[in-house]
Amino acid sequence: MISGRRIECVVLAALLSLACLPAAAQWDAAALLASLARSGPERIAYSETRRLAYLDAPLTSSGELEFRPPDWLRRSVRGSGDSYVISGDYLHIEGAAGSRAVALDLHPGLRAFAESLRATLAGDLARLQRFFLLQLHGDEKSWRLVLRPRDSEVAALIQSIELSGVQARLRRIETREAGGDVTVTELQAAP
Amino acid sequence: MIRRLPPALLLWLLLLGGGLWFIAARVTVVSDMAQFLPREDSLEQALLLDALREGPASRLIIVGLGGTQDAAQLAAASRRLAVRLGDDERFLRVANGPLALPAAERERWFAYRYLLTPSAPDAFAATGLRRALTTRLAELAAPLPPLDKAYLPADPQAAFRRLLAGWGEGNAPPLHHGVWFAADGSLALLLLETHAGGLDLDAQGAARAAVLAAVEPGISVLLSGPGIIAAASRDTIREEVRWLSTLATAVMLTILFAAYRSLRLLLLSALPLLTAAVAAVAVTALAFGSVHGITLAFGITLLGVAIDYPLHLFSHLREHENARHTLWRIWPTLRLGVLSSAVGYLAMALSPFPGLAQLALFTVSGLVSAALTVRWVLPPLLSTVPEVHVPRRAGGRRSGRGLWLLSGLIAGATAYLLVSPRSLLETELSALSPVPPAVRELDAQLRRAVGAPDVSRLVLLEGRDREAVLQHSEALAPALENLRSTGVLGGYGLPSAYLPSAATQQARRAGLPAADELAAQVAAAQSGLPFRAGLFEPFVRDVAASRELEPLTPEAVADTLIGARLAALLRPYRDGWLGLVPLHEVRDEAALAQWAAQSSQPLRYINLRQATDRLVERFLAGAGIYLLAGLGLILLLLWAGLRDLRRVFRVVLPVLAALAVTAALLHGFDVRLSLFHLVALLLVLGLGIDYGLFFARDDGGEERARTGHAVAVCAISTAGVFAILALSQIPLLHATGLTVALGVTLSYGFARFVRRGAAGSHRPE
Repeated sequence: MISGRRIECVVLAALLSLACLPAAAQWDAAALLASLARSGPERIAYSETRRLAYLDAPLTSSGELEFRPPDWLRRSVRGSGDSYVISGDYLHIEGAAGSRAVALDLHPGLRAFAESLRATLAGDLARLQRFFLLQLHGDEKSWRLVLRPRDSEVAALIQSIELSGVQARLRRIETREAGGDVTVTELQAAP
Repeated sequence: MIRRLPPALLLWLLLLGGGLWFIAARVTVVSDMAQFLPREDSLEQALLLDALREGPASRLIIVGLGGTQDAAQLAAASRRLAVRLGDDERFLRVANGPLALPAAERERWFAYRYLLTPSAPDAFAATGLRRALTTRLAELAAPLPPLDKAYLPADPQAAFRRLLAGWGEGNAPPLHHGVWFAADGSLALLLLETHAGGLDLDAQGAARAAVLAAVEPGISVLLSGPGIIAAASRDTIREEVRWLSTLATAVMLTILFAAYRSLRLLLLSALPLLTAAVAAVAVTALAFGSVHGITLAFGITLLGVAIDYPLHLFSHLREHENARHTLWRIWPTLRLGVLSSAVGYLAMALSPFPGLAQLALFTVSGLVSAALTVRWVLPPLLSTVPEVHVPRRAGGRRSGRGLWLLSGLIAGATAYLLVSPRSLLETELSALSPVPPAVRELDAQLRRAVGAPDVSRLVLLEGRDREAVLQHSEALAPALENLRSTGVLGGYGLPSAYLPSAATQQARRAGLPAADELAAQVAAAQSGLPFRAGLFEPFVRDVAASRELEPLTPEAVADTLIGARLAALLRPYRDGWLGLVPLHEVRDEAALAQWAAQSSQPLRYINLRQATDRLVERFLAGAGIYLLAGLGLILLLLWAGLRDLRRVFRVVLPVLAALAVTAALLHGFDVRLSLFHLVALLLVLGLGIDYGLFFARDDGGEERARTGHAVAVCAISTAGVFAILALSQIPLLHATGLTVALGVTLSYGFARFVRRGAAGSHRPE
């Protein structure tokens, strides 16, 4: 805990001092997101482990993420064939039972889940900041971006979402929910 | 002074004063359309209309926010407006997005979930529970975890989720930035419900002002809703009537002053009008108990014709002649004209349609009292006569051989009307409504945008109490679902969807297992699944607690949002209750009507729009018949008065030609004839006969010129005033103005065309 806070202080101090330096030398959340921004469509395989307070054993799943800039994201689950498309202000769930659309705005928690990944892949810092407070740790080679919900209603559901990666690659998402549930999503390196 | 007043003048003053007192103290003006239309159809329908007028549908206000392309800014404005109006006690409900139950209500409904939602027969046995748990496990594993995860230990069957889903809006508008938007994204939408009923126009006006005041600058706002429209159209009508009547009065005064060059005559010409208005209102109120707003607005314009009567007198005034003598010269002609006008309306006064009868009685009593005022009141006031100079050429000298031509015109116009494939008559009730078309169009646009349910199609359920109605509603569900799945209709809103009957709740309660029994089933269902042991203890506890609950009744939930929606669908009726089941997107009217007719349940299918259209159609057909009857009476009267068939033709043909051509012209310009057009045509008939009668008098020289002058002044002033009315946005005034201005102009033109030089010796010039 203490070491985490010290790192934060160091990063903060570094950021403050870097602010005086020429733009080319800066590396901050804006620079990170700019490097993450995808200019074309992309498919990424993932695997996920979820540890829930309700369950004795973790749940695992895997599938594929497909992102089309600026705001279209599909998550297809291997095995079930279900797919979750986040597009505009709606989440479309398509499965064997048919499809339905859920308005993201109806469920701020859902909106936060959706934007944490979509805005990151789009490199949209402003959008990300609209929903989360951002903390950046590490350096350009190995970084960790911690998102905490701004909205108190969302914060009651989601404690934090931690994105980490190497250079311009997002590798791992760790979602901590308020009840103690933790989901870890590993993204495989692009082929 | 007073002793020297002629008795007629004294009587007139007394009657006028009494009438004014009666109007001020006793007369009420009603504005309810239902009172204008025939209502012998069924009490039930009238009651239903009442319910719809007073019910939540009438209290709805739709707000559209626009003025910027930035959707986020509009959404923020919508949210702030909702907060501000939410604190305003004038509003019962302020919604800019889907139903969000207040936390306190949520708790209440959650406790009753096992009585309010249906469950599978084995839902509380190991098999059913196992099914539910497997589904929940899959949801927990899904990429986006279920949002109601916190409820899982107490509600593994997601009964509460199903309850909430059942209450959701059927076809709500799309959501952007968390609030409702029109489909094209140009408007952020809000739905408001006022505490006050839709007919409380002052309260509706205040609600409108409150919304306008609460919208922030830079945002434009569109508003609609039955109450808003009623309040706004009242203001529009006041405003329009003010400037139209000012303009019309100015035009009238200018014409009259140009014709007579006497201020005194100008003032005197107003007396018959004033008398006519007072008498008409008083007599109508005495006969019907109240005066309808439409009668008042429309009738007063019809009475404008009474200005003609003093004009005939004034134009015929000669120097050094007692006004009494002048009057005697023209009185037989004037009397015949007034009587024929009155007789035309009298037929209508006997009609069983309250609106027509009222309008007719109003007009007849007004016209007769105006004529009596000219006959008895004006001459004594004209003891010193200002000389009225009449240009000699006003007499005209065209010899009449136009009768054949006019007959041809009548035949041609009638043939055109009969042959034309387009519908001649306007049967939409809205055409009678005093609301400007632009306002109605805005309302339709906003309604489409919010997907506000069309309340014109309904199934009615009857029961001895609310419980019975709810039970009927439940029994109806399978049949309606079948109609929906076969595409006959798109959706329906059953009262029992908000709250099941007590009987159903009791049956569900009886099916709930005891705590230890359920605990054993849960343990069995859970085996082999990764759920923690003891996780579902809250579920077992809640089910056990539900066994002790008393069923919820509509009264018990009346203070909740859902209870308010339910109350809108349950109405007291006679000594029982009615359930309203609104139907949406009805695609196969015939199939629906057939199903309703064959159903064994105590239900009735009602299409309000069709019902009102039929009503108006019957109303118009009735009006047409009474118009024809009136025409017949007029012809009889004229023949009795003139005793000369050729003269009757000379009087009647020009105006009939004018009527036929006016109707054909209106039809040619794609105007459908409404009740107002028909009554306006009757007015033209009266005027035209008046012109014809005066033109047909056997006289010559100066008298002939004076008659020509009188008729010309009458026609010009009437056409001018009604042409101004035609400028109005209000359908009623526009229709009347256009028809009368056109009809009078043609009528005068045709009448002059056939005016013969008086037979024999009096030929002028």
